Amino acid sequence: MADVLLYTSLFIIWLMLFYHMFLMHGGYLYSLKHKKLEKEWTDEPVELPTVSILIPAHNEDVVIEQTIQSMIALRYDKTKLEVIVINDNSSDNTGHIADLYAAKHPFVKVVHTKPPNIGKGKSGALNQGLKHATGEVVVVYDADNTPEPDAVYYLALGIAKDKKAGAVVGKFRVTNAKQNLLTRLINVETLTFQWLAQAGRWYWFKMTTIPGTNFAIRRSILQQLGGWDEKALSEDTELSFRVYNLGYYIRFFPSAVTWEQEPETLKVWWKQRTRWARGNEYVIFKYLFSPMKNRTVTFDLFYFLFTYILFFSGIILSHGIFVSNLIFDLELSIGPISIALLITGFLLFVTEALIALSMEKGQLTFKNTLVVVFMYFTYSQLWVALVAYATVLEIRRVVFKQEVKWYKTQRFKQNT
Amino acid sequence: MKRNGKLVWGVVLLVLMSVFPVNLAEADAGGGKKAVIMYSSENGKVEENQKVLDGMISRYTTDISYVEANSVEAEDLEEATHLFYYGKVEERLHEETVELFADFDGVKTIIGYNADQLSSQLDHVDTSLQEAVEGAYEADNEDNAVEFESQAMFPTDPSESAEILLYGTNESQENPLFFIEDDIYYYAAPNLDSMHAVMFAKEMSGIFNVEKEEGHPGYLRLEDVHPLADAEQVQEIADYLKSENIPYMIAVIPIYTDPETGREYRFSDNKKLTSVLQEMQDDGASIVLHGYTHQFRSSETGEGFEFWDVENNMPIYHGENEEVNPKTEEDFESPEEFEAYNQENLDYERAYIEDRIESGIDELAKYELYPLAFEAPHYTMSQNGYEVLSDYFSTYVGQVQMSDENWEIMRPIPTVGQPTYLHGMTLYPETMGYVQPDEPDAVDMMMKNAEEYQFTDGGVTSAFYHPYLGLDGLIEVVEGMKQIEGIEWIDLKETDSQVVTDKVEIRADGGEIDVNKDRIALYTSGFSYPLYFLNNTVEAMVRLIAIIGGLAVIIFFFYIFRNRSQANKS
Repeated sequence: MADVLLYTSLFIIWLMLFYHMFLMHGGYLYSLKHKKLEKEWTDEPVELPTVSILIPAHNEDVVIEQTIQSMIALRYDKTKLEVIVINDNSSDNTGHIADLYAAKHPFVKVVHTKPPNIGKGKSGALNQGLKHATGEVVVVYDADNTPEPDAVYYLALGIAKDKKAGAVVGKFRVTNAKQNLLTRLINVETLTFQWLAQAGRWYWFKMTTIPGTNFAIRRSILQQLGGWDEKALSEDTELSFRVYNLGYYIRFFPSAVTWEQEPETLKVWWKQRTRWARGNEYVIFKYLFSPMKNRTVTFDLFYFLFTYILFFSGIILSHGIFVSNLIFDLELSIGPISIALLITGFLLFVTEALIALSMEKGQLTFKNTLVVVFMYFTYSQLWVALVAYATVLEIRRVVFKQEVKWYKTQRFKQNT
Repeated sequence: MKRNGKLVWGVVLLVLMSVFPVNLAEADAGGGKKAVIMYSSENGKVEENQKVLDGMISRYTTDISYVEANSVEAEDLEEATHLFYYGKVEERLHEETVELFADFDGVKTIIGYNADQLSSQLDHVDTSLQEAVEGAYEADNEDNAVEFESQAMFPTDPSESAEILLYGTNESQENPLFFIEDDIYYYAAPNLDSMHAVMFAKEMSGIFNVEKEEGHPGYLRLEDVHPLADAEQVQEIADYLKSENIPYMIAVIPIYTDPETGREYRFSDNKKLTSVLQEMQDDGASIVLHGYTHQFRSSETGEGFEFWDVENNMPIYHGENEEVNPKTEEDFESPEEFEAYNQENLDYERAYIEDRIESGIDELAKYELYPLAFEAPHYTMSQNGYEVLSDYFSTYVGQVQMSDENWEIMRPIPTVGQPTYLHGMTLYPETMGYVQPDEPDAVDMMMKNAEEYQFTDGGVTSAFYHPYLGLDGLIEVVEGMKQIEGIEWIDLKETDSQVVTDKVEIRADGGEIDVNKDRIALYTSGFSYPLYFLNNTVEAMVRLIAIIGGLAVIIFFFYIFRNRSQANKS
């Protein structure tokens, strides 16, 4: 019996690991391909679209000023650019700061949400901002973002060059990576996610998901879709699926870089990630039973399903067997091959993370290598607990028909 | 029409092909020779001594019949080419018997008592005395001699005209033991046990007028290998025997029954051992089925008797928990009722043996272990049992129980043959014994036995060994056996052995094993094989996973270093 459970968990886990292996491979190949593409597209002149940047902000006075400044510093024809800060029910200075900049810079606008459309979360704020947007293309930044000056140019370039791209997604980097161990871990995580999941899926399947910030989407599509889903906790994943359903794809274009702040305390991290996990689970079940037009998306949906339900169950099961085998003799028949699998699994994790780090300047350091090793035993395991927790919350929400509450990530003052 | 014509010819050819070998084999069985064993025995029954003779004759012809001396009739000897009279006991022979013997114009042989009645020239044989015989040598080659433990023989004094074949010797004198007088071969001892059989067998080629064969067929058998045997130990032995390049046999028991818990272990429970055995089979080993569980009632596998109720010293005519009270003829009102009772017993035994044999063969075949011969646990089996066995096997290895009265009656036969009581099975006898764990001189004793059997041309030198005793003892045995002059290692795969059940057909074919199996029927009988198969597949997949994962790690390291060196360049 224990054997059956062990092999079941093993096959589930390794199915996922093989898929990740495959994605990482694609990510690497895409990194080679992308360099050529970037050069090709920038060398060839093209008419750039008008762009509306939406920045939803709810009590963001710690970071909003810097974000607006980075908008002003963008290298993009200002006649073709508008920046819309959506001050959503802030009780702090956010609205005031935004108004000051709007007064000085004509392309900066502020939308103060009004009842009843207040405090409806990020999706609600974006929908309010969208009403005022006039650009052909809508770009979204979180209030804590500092895009590089060329970020919007690259996003708009992607849209202009690729007619089939409903949206273009850039890359995000961590501003406070060196702040503490947690942010170092998050830094490794974000880089690996982007090169493995985003670039990998894009390379093999022409498929990425919108990460919630630093992406451009055709406004026509948003209007056709009726904006963002205000019930979704992770409105970005949800929106991605709908874009694919329209027959467009979402291009990954890592030349467009933004820098953002990541949680510096475990508590904030836990709340934020719980929201993501719950959001993704919401999306899985929203679309699992409704037919998808796009086969790749269905596949991706199953990937999500697999990750959140089976993969984590597999890991929990395998952990459970491992621990109980230390205490009781379960008479497992697997033998030394299990050690080979444990080591190989660990090395895959390490090498995949190191590939992602090696693609970024100055990231493949000895210290970061240690962080990766440490990550396997701590941060990754924390994720297991987190997904279990989020699943329990989601089940409870569905069973008791609870109202979703949007948790806004707490910001930290930057020592720049 | 044309196609039909072809079809008909095809069918005819097929029929011919399937019929011919059988006919040829039958025609060849006697090679035109027909032997009759005429005997005088204690209660007029064929017993072990005649059976030993039968075994030795069967090397030259399988057309053998028995007749009690005083009930012989002319038609019993019709077409016979060889007549053997075996006088196991003193008896007044009828005139008709004496006449028929005198008139027989084929080759005549007498063993033991009553020779004087059959030929006046043999009246010098003094059956009232017994002389000790501790050695023997060939009359025409004194160097060809053998020594052995003291046996008994009759003192003889053949005439000048007699041709002496063998002299029996003891410390003080020598005595003609086997000679031809009055055109009769005479062997001067009443028992054909141990060395007497060897000495008698030595002159069989003369009796059948064929060239003496050179060399000694020999074999080594690893004994009692069951699913809980130590795979590593067996692997060690496999490697050694492979390096020695010796064909050998493995007596395999498919099921191990734990005497305490009653739990059955199969080869699916010891995959490592299974693959070692498969490997051995590929290299040089032939598998010998050694029972199904090697036990009856709750004894331990490898210890118990499977085809004999040893507690009641009788065949298995009853379930293991049934009360046993064998009946005799007096318990019945009529002979018919007794006959019916006997038949019922035989049918019960047949069903029991069939079930175990079929299960045994099928069970091994599931794990790609293909038995080519059978050896009964503790060599015990009733005469009916051998007949049942012959429906499945064409080859028998080991010793043969020669009586249904007492399992302990076993006699080694020195040469390979097809004794009548094995119903067509070829017997590869066992002559040297085995390494007894507590016996420090075990191998020396075995080699002494081999020496004795070497006295006979074509005398088999065969031994077995329990693998759990470890490699060292085996090396000693093999080194010893390699010294046997003219040893020819028997490879069952080179014989015409075949094994057949409803589900499996196994044939030795020029060193290979041909197998025909009804896979579906075989693999779906019971859960153990499907589970084993699943388990094997799963394990293979896990290994594959580890390999692919490992390769990916290597490739990823390569990517990392490439990225790093490019980053350094820019």
